[in-house]
Amino acid sequence: MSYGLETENSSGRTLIDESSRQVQIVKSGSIVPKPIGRAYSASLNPFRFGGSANPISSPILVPGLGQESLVFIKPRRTSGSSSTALHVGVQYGTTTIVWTSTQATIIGTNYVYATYATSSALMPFSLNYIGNDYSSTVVNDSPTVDTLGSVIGYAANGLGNNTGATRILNIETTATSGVYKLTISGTWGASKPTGTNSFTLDREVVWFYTPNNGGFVSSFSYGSSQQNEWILDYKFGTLSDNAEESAGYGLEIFTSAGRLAWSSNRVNFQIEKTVTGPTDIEAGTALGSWAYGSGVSSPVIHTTVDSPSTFSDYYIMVTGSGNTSGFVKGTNNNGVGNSPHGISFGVGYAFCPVGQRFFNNATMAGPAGGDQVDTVSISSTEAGMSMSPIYQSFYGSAPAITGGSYVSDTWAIEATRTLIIGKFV
Amino acid sequence: MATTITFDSSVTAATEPSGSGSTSHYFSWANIINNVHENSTINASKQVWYRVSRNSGSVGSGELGYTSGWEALTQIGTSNNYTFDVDVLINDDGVDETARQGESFTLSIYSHSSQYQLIGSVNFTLYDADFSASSISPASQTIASNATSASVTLTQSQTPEAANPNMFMYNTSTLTGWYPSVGFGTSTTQSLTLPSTMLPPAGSTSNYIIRLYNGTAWYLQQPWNFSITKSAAALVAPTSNGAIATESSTSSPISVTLGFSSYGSGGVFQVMQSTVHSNPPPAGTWTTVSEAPYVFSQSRGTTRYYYSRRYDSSTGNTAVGTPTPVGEQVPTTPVLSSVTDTATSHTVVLSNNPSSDGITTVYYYQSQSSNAMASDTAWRDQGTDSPPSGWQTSPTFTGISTTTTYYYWAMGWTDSNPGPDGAVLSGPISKNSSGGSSSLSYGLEIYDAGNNLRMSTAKRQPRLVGYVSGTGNGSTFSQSWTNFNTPSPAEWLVVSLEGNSNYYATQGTTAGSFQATRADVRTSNSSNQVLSGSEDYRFAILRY
Repeated sequence: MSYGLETENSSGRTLIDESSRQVQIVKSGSIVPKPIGRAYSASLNPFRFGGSANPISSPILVPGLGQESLVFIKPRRTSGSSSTALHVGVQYGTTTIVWTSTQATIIGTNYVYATYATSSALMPFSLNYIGNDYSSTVVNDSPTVDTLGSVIGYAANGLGNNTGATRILNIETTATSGVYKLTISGTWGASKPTGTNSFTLDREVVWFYTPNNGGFVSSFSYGSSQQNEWILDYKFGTLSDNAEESAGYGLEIFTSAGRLAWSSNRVNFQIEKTVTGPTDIEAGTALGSWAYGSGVSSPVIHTTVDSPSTFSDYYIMVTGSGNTSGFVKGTNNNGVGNSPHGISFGVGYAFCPVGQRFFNNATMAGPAGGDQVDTVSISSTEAGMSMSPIYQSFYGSAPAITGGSYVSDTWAIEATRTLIIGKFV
Repeated sequence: MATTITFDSSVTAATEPSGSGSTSHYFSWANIINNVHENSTINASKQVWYRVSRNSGSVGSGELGYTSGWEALTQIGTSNNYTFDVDVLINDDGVDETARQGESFTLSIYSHSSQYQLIGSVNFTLYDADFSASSISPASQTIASNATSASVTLTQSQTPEAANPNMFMYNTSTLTGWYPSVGFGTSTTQSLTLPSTMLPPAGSTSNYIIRLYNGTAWYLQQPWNFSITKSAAALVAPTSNGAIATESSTSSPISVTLGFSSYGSGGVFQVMQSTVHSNPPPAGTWTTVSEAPYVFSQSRGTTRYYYSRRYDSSTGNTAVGTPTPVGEQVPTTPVLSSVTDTATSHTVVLSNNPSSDGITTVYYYQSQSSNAMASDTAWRDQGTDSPPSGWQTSPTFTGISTTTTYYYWAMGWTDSNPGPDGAVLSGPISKNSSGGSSSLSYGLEIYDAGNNLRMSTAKRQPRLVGYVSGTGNGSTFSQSWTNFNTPSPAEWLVVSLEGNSNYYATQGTTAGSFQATRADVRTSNSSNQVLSGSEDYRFAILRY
């Protein structure tokens, strides 16, 4: 290190260095996770009973520079006192944000007035054999936040601003509802007519979902009294050059490129525990089936918090998402009944409040076999989190598969995943 | 037309011949003889011959065996019908004949005293109610509180002809009835033993009546009423073994169970909660409860006194339970705030002051295991009226080792008498002696404007180093990254962020690179992979 500041703790691990950057929490919110599978049940939800109306999960717009946000989640009790373990999966998708100018741009200026719109969200997973059912209407989008820092240089190319690195520096509301003033890092070389799609930006969305119901799953046991008592808090952290607070003192560290690397005026996610291990369900020896039973290790990693009395302050940093495995049994077989069906599992998290003891991963993983994944427990005075497969989707009308009727298919099976928990301070 | 007789309807009525207690009775029946022929003996004499004769029943002294005589006819207008009366004196004796249940007679009408020309006849039955019972003794009596039977004696003035089983005894207090198996016997004194089911409860009096059935009616006579009083049971006071608070919850109020080693006896069992300590118990509302541990509700930080007793409502007597009273002090829950430290000591800081309630003593516990309080025996009173070993009243612990994580608990403790002392456990709080606050003898701490610790050399924070993304060729490959895993893999992390990717990261320990591992363990009997994931990958590289 030829310059800058580097700190190490007593174990010799760096806290600040010249090459890594602290993320800024740019967006926080709460949502009720719901199923995203095709066969869902409104009552099958450890967080809230959604009723028959809108029982499926909605996508949240992820802020930041194209898939570069860190995501943190935790359950929060809103009422009541009953609880079991709470289970959440994470699935990313895409949407498009369009900024449309409301006034012609002026040559030599660095701003544009524009309206903001999002398109329907898409999940990059639409196989007929399994499929999902989810809401595509983006929620919790923040026009003044979500596209900050986005590169729009190429959109401005034909207008005389040929700097590919031109970014949106600032977004502010105006006196006209729905119209925003966007400040860019360059100046207009030509006038942009009113009504032009100034920038079209691809963005990520995220669905936080709960386990899926299945035609032959009978072990789901979320107590009805628990429902309506919990909600999921989330935070998105992105790289930025903005300190969150404007204290007149403190410490800020910049990279050699002049980018803010660390600021004492930001909240920090302080890691308390990390656990690494396999969390994916494995394919079984029989086609169309997963491995379970004696001799199959539980695909669960877990840890406990140091301060159970402040369990509600702990977040998980999301380090896994999407699907991990799928199983299809086509027509004319005697696998699990005679009906064709497809099942998929995703990367899941479980939160276990004080007194619950069990992560209840059997509930989380549905038909994966309770003896395989429900054996992890902690003491009644402890609280903790775990990662394990989450039963994402069941589709009872899967079509016949060309060339065969049974498929066990996996994506990042047996991937080594890391569970990270901590607090924001 | 034939000559017939229309008998007085009362002839066939069941009639007590002499009335209860009488010895004789006149019967007068107004009958009609129809179609008397002009040239008949009856018409000529204007009279008929009657005969009343006994068909069953004994003929006692003075009792009717038979009687007969002429009765004059009175023409009804100008018709051929005549009325005539039969007046009969049927004597009765004083013998109790209720067991006979009816004596049968026949009234016959003849045209001639020689009784060879019967015109008509009718049977009738008479019932005797000459019960000879004169008294029952004792008319009232008091039996012991634990008595299971009681006897009374019926006295009869003469020996009845036969025993009458149809005797019924009725308790007008409890509305229960009983048929003595001995019935109304043939001796002049009859002893009846009432079973326990007919007796009053302890401390109560029941009144009884006896009825007798003579075949057509129940009879009740005043001398046969009597009463029995069962003495009140002696009250035995209950004994409590203490009040036990439910300590598994830190909520308030909590359940307090008043237990007993003996519930005593007699009267009813009552309990009471009070804020007043006194012996005898203060005035208050007693609750009658079943003989089982009784659950009260008591707020934390309070003292309550519990009383028990046996109570006899008939006498107003009480037997107050011991100890008098049972005291229960429910401790206030301590709330942990933080752990301050020096280089060699830790001090637990509470955010409340449990001892301000005047009854709670706070104890502290230190362990290097977060699971130290998993068993109740680690903190609850185990019968010694003091906390288990390891608890101390001082919040300061010395002899702290470096690079060690300690866990601390606080416990609210109260004296209770008798029974286990009150105890309530706080949640744990941990402290790592290697870092944080002033336990460090070196390092750097940074606080924000709100005095929040934003960086400490005891804490670890994830920082983004960069991203790697692309589309793989279906094979595992090594991805280089400058300084990755340096100086230690323990502070680097690579995370796969691409959903449904066939790739995942294997961090390994190689300096400067990690492995993008292609998962390909799918199994299918199809030549095509029908559930293909994405070959895209995207990894976030973090330091923490």
